[in-house]
Amino acid sequence: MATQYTAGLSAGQVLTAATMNQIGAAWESYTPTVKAGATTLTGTVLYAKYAQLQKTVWVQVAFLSSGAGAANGIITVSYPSGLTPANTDIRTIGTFHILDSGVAFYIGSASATNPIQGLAYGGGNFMGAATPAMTIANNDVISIAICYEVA
Amino acid sequence: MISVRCSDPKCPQHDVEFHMMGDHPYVCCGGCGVHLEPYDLRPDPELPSGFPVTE
Repeated sequence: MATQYTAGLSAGQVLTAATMNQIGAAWESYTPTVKAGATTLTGTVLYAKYAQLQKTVWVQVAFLSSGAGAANGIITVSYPSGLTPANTDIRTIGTFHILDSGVAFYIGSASATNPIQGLAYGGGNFMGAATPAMTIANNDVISIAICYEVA
Repeated sequence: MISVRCSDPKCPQHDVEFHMMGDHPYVCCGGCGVHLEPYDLRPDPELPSGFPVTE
């Protein structure tokens, strides 16, 4: 099991090589729930890892869909368990990327909503419902890269 | 590629099987945070290009 650095150091504690070497040493794999509307997508997790350093969390996910999502459903990705952001809202915490296989790439910003949603330029709603309004299908890829303050 | 599944009935990801590229000695359940034991280690499949523009 990889160790994420969450504990503070105590007064007078001697910093050992073992302690220092574990800080940021390994990212942990996790199982993200990826949805299009109310439909949980089936597919392959190409990459889903996070790292934590006290209140700072980094997450990267790439998910290859093998099925269809709900038509024009908002596309969402879940956080690692227990690591939702402080003050969940629509502030930007990273990038949100959709490959509509054989059609187009769509790039947006990832919002600190729970779960994570994307907003693309000029969109009137979250990605999937608008900009683009689309139906996730076989071989589509949803990818995020985010960094935020954990609650 | 490996597969994992959370067996905790209280977990929102209970009994959902995830297929993950690569070999992972440790996978954290995204639903409840427990340690999941990977199984069925197998070669990664070839991915479709999926790119909108091909040469």
